[in-house]
Amino acid sequence: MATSVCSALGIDQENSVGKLIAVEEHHSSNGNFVLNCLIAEQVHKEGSVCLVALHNSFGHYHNVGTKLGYNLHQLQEKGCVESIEVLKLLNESLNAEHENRVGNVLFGDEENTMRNLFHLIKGKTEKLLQKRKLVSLVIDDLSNLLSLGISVKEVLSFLQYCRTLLESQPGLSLVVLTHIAEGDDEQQLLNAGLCHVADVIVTVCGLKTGQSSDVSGSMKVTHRRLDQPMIAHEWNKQNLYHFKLLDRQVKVFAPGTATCLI
Amino acid sequence: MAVQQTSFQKKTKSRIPYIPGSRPSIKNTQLLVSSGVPSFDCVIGGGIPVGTLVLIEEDKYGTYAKLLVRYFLAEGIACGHSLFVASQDLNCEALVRELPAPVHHDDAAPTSELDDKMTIAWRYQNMREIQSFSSNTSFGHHYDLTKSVDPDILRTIDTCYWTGPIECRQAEGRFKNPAYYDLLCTIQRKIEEGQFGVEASPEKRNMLRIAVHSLGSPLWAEQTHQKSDLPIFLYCLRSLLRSAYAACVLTLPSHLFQETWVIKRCQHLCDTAVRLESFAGSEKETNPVYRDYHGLFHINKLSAINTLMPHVPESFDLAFRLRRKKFSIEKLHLPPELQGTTQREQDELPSVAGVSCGGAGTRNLLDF
Repeated sequence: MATSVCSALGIDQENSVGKLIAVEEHHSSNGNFVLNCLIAEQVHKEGSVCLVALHNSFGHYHNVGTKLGYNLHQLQEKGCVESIEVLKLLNESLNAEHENRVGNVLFGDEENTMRNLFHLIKGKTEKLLQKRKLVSLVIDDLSNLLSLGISVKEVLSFLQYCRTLLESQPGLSLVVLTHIAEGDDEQQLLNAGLCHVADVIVTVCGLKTGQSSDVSGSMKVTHRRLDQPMIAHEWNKQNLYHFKLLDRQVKVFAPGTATCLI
Repeated sequence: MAVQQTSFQKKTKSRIPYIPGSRPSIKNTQLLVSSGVPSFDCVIGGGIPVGTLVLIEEDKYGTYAKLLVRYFLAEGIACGHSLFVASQDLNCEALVRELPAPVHHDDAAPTSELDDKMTIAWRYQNMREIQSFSSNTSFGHHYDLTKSVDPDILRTIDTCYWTGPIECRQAEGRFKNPAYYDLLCTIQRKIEEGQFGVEASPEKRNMLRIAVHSLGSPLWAEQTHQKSDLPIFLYCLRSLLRSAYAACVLTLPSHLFQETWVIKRCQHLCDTAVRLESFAGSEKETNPVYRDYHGLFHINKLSAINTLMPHVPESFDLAFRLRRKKFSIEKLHLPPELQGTTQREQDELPSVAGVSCGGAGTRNLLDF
């Protein structure tokens, strides 16, 4: 189940409301499981989720969710989950005629595109907040906006706008995943900008020595706001973990304590 | 009292439509199609998931990458799928005309394996065979490279070619290069016309196989001083494929790219990424260690669609070997003994012959 990841992140002890959790996914690793576990935790807390899916389809999250014990389609029908599928928007915008291309994801100018996306998110989170107290805004792979040809500056200001929602809409928490590859300056710039404003940074890397069938990768958790008393003891904690993805759960353990080694 | 809703639902008839040449994955209900090379399917987790992109980074001369594309298309013909072939380097029609024909079990040469059953050392007897896949008749075939596919069968297959952008086509939106934009529009039109979309409801559901050969090669007029269009093209293609009954194989001459970040972004945007490293022209060609193989097979990324856990292959040290009727990807094994090993020569020296086991030429009481 998802609890092992959440306890490694310290989400079970402290409140994530008003916070920004950044997931930094390094090349040759997959950080998607962190998002799935955070969604599971949010569903467990009876909160609602606004999913901005840039990398995977909503169906993917639903299918993984059924393995982790929640049903996103059902929750969506109940109005507890809203999704913005950029992949679908992109498909529609390819179809669109010349006249309707102004605010389009693919053909509109950068600023308009980001503004439209932000307004879409704002509307959905407001709608969710009317129903439930806790809302988590999950953005899967912010760096894909760069691949769409949008400049780093625009993506960072989009992120800044999303952060303003944390202030204006109490009960909201933000989870942002970004991919980072060595040698990609744009992605590194974006990642630095994201980590600078994040409260918790989760770094997911592959193993340096290559791939293994017993350990899927390593996960480092950094708490950046140490002023709160609840997590003040975190600084002394070992926060480097190894994880192993299984069909229905994620195992998180200290490095060197994989089940095959003991 | 409102009835408490649970997550338990009665399992009704499977929503996955049956399409010839496809099968659901064992681990999740993801629909798979074969790549045309059974051992390749085995390595990437049973087959290519429908709606995903497979990126093949080409070997230096592009021979084996082209071969994989041919197998992928030939498998489409064997299953009756629709084909879409795009290349600016090759003549697509000739490529399809010369696709290999599947090997039928009846015309395979009868093997007299019963008579000359090889006896092997006892310690290897219980080891598993290297080839662990089972060949299924409807999913994945072997192809004979010396025979080309029957033209009559080819005529029944719906094929579509793309060999370059139409002259008048202008790049639009964020696209700088008209070639990518044109290809994208052509693929989209094909998906619409052939009713391959998830929402479409044709009488008979079929699969579209898209093969893009040598994407981003110099002939695509990729300008390096400009921002590359490759990531945006792949992102749009990803969005098209996710909502269609289609699978796509792309080959990318990654050794021709100066900017590694473009390659890495491409790997990120594709679902499965593999790299071929051919021994042709390299010093590994003559290395006795690699005597049995034609090249190395590297896995960069495996698809994790609709599942928490991506497939983990048995081994990451893989090599490929090409034979007339079979292209196989195997676990890299070193040969049992390399010629020119110095150890055995020592046995013949009289000084160490005292404890040698069967050292040739030396007569000793301890020999056995």
